[in-house]
Amino acid sequence: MSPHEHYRINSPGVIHELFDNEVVIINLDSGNYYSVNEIGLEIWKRLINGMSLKKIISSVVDLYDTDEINAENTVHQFIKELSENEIIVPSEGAPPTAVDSDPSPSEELAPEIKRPFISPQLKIYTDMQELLLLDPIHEVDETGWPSREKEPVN
Amino acid sequence: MVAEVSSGGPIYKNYCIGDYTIQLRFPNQEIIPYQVPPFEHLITETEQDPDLVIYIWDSGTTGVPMPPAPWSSSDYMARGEVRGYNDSRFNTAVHGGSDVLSILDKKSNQAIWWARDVRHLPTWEYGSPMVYILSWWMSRHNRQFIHAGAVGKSNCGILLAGKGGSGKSMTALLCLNSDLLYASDDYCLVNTAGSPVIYSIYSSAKIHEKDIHKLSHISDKNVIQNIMDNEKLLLFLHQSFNDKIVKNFPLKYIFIPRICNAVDTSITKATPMDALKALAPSTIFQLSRSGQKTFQNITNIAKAVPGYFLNLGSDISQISASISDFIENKQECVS
Repeated sequence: MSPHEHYRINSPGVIHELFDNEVVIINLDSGNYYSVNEIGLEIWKRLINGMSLKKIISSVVDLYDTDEINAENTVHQFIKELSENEIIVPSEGAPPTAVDSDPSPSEELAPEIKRPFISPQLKIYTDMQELLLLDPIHEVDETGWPSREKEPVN
Repeated sequence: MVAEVSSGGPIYKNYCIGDYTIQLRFPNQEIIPYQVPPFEHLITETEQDPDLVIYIWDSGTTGVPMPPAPWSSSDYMARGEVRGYNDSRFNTAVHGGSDVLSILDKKSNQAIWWARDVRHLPTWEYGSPMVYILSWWMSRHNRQFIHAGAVGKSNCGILLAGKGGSGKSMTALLCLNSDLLYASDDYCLVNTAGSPVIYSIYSSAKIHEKDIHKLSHISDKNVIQNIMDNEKLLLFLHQSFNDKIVKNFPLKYIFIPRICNAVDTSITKATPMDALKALAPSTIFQLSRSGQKTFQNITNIAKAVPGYFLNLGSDISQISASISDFIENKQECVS
């Protein structure tokens, strides 16, 4: 991954809501939904604000008790997981919003106090897939209307 | 119009759904029993012009075929949407599970619901008719369609949030045999402006056949429609439980039922995020064209009221009593 790479949410198929200190992400195309842990949320907020990978890694080092190598490895792994789940895609052209500027830092901690580091985690929920009409209609009759067989009503 | 003329003329029925007058217009009497039972608790004799008119017809009972589809088979997309026929004025979808066509004209507030044959549809189409049309139209009128049950007292409504199998339906149906009121088993409306209110849409419910014996108060054959789909019975509650079904009540809490390995039922605190995860995915995935706006509305609802886990014990006689006691003990619900 290039350190200057930016990503964007894979909309409109992916929607999300930031909620206090959490985020729920829904992939309308796959039927999965996701949540992330605290450090994942910090990375997510920076990602959707158009921050480069390099700056995100730097932010993680600033906020958490970890070194740059570990931060780089874990951020890359997290980005890879988000990409594999088609939640984010590389952003083409200029970043969508403010470039490489930090979102508001946590107000609970003094700048010199770093939080304990825990690897970012993407929790995947697949229990809604059965609800999702994943299969578009394919079988139609000669007038173009769906023509699947119906069960007789008792 | 051709179907109406060929079948003897239109029949109108008006319903007050979400405080709006929704007119259902039928070409013949034969279709009516397949579409109106879930709405009967909301029927109104109002003389005012309807806010939305839904033209309901099929080809099976009218003998009038549908004109050829103006789109190709490749235009049927996931979640029912028809490519190229959804814009600022129109919403168009064909439900993949029932092949029912839904079209809404947002400018004229008219809609079309068409099935190849209304007599041969999946059970859920009879229990929850016109979900797409109602959800689309209501979203433009400050009403969010929600996948949730709803029970409570006249001044205290509780959403029962969760996916299928969580105990939502059983909880709602058990409450019919208590001092609690009932508004919903599967879908209801919540307003998105002002203080939150739950509005009933359907007085139907679905329960697994294996569980019906637990509901001794629901044994009337007028309630149980022996239409079985995936081993579920469809219940129409209006006739036998008319005094227990409310049109609306204020939303005060969100309960997340979960089946526990215990005898006793208990109620424990949940976070707004728990409520959001219980409400949002199942709602969004079931509704054609729902996306960020729906997600935002549900987020606002989850933030607006406290959430609790309803830990369902094996002694089901405690469930409705636990909910009733909770309401009685809460200051916000004291009238």
